[in-house]
Amino acid sequence: MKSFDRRGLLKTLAVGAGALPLAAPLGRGFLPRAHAAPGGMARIVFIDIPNGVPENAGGYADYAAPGASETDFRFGVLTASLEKLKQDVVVMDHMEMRNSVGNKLNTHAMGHAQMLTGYAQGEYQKGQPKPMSVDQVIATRVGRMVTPKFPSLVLSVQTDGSTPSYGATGSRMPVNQDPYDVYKKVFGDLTTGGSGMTDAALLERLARRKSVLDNVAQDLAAFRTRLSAEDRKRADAQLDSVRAMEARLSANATAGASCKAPTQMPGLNVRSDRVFPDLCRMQLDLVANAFACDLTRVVTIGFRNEDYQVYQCNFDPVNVPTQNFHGLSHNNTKDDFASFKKAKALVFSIVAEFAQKLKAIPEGTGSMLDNTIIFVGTEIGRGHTISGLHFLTIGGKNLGVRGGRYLRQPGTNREPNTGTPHNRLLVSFLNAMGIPDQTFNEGPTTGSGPLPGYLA
Amino acid sequence: MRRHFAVRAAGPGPAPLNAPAPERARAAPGRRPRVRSATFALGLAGLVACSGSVGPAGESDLAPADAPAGPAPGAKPSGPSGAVPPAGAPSEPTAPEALAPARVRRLTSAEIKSSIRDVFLAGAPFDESFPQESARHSFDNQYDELGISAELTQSLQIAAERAAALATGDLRKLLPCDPAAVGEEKCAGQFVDAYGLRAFRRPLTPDERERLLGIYRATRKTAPYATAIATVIEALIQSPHFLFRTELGAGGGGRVALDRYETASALSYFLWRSAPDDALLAAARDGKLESRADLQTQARRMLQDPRAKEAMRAFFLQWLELTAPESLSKADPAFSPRLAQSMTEESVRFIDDVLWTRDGSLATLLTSPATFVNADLAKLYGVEPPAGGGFGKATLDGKRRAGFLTHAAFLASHTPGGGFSPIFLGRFVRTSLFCQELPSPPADVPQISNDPNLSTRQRFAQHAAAPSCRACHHLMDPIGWGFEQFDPLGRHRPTEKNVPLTGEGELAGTDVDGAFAGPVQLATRLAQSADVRRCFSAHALKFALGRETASPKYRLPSDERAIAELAEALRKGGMKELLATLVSTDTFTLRNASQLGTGDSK
Repeated sequence: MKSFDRRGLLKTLAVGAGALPLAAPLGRGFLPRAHAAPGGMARIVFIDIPNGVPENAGGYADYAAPGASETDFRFGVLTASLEKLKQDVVVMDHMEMRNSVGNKLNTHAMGHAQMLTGYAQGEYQKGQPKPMSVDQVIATRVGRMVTPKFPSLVLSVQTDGSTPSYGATGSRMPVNQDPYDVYKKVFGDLTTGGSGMTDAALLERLARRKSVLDNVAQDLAAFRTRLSAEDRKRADAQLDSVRAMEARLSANATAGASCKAPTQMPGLNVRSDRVFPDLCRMQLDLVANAFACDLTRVVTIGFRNEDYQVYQCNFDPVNVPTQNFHGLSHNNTKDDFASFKKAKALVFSIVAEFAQKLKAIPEGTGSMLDNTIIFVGTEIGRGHTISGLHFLTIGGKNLGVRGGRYLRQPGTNREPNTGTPHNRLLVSFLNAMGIPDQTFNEGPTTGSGPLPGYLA
Repeated sequence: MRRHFAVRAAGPGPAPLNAPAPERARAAPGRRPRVRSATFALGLAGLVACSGSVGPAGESDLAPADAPAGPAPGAKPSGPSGAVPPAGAPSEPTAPEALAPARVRRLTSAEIKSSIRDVFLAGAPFDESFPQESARHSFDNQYDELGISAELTQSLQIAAERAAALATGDLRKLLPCDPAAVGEEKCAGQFVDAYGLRAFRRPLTPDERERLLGIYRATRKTAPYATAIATVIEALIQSPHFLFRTELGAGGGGRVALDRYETASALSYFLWRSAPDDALLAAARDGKLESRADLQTQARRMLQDPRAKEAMRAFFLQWLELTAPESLSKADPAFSPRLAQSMTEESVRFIDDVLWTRDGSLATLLTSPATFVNADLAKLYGVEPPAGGGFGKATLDGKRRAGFLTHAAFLASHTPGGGFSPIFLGRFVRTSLFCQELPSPPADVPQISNDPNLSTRQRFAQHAAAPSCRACHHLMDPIGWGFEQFDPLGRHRPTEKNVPLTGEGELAGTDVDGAFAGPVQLATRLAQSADVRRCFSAHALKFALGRETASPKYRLPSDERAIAELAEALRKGGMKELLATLVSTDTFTLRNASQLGTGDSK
């Protein structure tokens, strides 16, 4: 990595461009301890592993089984790889995505739309605002406090553009499923020096970028005045990212000692089902390194979707070229069921590797994992409904998460609207990230307040 | 002329090239329900307790109470709001409430790239990776899918810098003037005027022009001329005026027409998926995009351009939900990535041929056995390979194959890797050809038999026998059986497990109901259906407008009127006629701006 003279750069920029039009604070009302304390870099990762977890006769022992007390629980074959992280894990069973139309909305697509928005798509009425998903709410509010280069990263592996993340005006967030491209976008600046530019050339390049971004911000200021309230949110989303890019140009990054661009496996075809596990690892590596360089605080990542016809499970050690995750989850032959569990266990083990990686990075008095909540969710539950959902989180000790627990939820019957509304977990995430809200996209049946017992 | 009722701030007369864009209306759009098709993806599972009824599109009992009132496509238009006037005849103006809200549309990643190519690179291909839009069961240009993220902004910066470097590689080709002859700064000014117009798709305001020249001057102090010009290009591409196109209309009040430059963009991003060319911008400047006839004339000109071919390929590939060849994966040893590429190429060649060389009719697309094959596909179809190494014309067995629904690409995309299932093909016909909705599956769906000794029909007998399964599956399976004589690669197979396959199925709840045997009879029936023509038209409209019009429950009254008109144009004159008609409909050119903002910066 090429280093360059930051002071020289700042001087150049100051002379060249004058006052920043971007300097006006936007919603910098409060800076919670979660972000301001030494080493306190609150982060959150939302991981979507679609198609639910296999139901066993009488329970979900393959996933995890509760014991006599909260702290007494067992991982199943799917999650065995989390054993070493047990004190960082919180398992929640029987969560429910509430909606006003009962069990009419039992589709994977509905679950994905609701997972992070907490908002039943079926409840949309004319004239009602469409909500942002919780990751984007956090990204927007935290991003305006600490201005990382990327308020959030929305990534996926083989989802063909779908993601549970919804941004301004309820539009699905653009999603990047190509780790090579993510590398270029996220770490491009760190590696600029590698192109052989001299310091002077690099400074000039950055000064030009700054003048262009200044102009974009002025264009946006003019552009937004004509827009509807809804479209202004889009313009403001662009302005936020322009601000973040500009802040990055003219301020010292708070990169830690572990900050470096990851090494990538070369030459994988990102659309080939054979390399699915490698792509998952590469994307999560990028996330770990982006955190180490403080390039973002919020990440959403989906490992495939409710596959329609594409992307089979043609990868080691599953090797089923005729079925996708979805097909395996629905077929009840012994072989298919075994393959489904194998595929799921593989993905959980990749997530466990990622968590271990964060745990190995010291930060403040603990590890990066202590400052990071990793949410592992799914969009479909018991009997192909959006109730009876099984979630877990890893990490977040410094953010108040009480790890090493299995939080049993009511809802063993199959009646809709009897399980714990998952909105309450989303409220807990807001709280952990320093946002004190007590509701999140509340509906008539979602209840309010955080999930009892999740945060200290 | 219907468009005379449109509110226009700018008169029809010519405006100077650099006149400021007319003051645009601000709109607080009435919100539309989020569009999520009732995604059906349940593998081989059965469905129970499904209450969906078969009815003409638009009369679904699932339509929300607040769905816009409008005539069902099958209903005879009556009264001023539903009447479709003869082309060119005067009619009542469309009420604002019948129109879509005025708003802005973000360019898709494909549109960003093609705009850069056409505006700055004289048509030379430009590729840069962007976050991907989701087009699952939809098109890639839908408003609700086009979010903004930091990564997108970063992608735009990278693309802008690369495009600027490429464009300034040879200044003589790029610049409209010789800086040595007219003076560097004067030439920079001419550059800003010419390329600003193309990039923003309207003349620059004086403020915009001055700021861009400011960037030029500041950069030129320390950098070569080409770098200063490149920096201006970077600023143009990263601007919201490039990234978004407005559909806000001119003037205020309820019903507004897109302003002349917005109209030019609406035409070009629909018909070309790219920026307007100079001729279109000149037509906008000269007030030649006003009447229905003007718009149709422009559309016919634009359809001669290769960009129209590209745009229509994108429309068809997305409408047919063809799996990207590099993502297709089959267990069959005869499958290879090369074969997948060939399949897609066949469909593209077929669509090109029917649209631009043959009659462009939906009937031909649905029924013609004439297509294109290479050696691999000739083997798959059991026809003679063409002479030479590549693709050549071929006529498939007319008793087994008819049109694109029987092409390998479509069949392979809609047949699970494990073997034929009637569900996905039936779903496609029901939802994408008839625009009917399927309800969500209920809870606790039982599994159907996986007995390996049974044929698919025998295993699926449960769907027809159990009333709870039948409730939904009679909407899909009886149509899907028409394709049972094809395997996951789209090869013909006469038997399954020694049981002869008949392809016998049934259409119900449509305007072409009745039993059929095999895909050719099915396709022939579909080609005769007015419902299918309307549904196809509704998809074309969705592609043009970037919002849901395929699902009847989200259509606005102006959409319904347009769809009736488009279906008629399609019947009479094929796809080209449909496209030319579409750009002249009220729903394409008018918006509802009744909730105008005040224009302040809060």
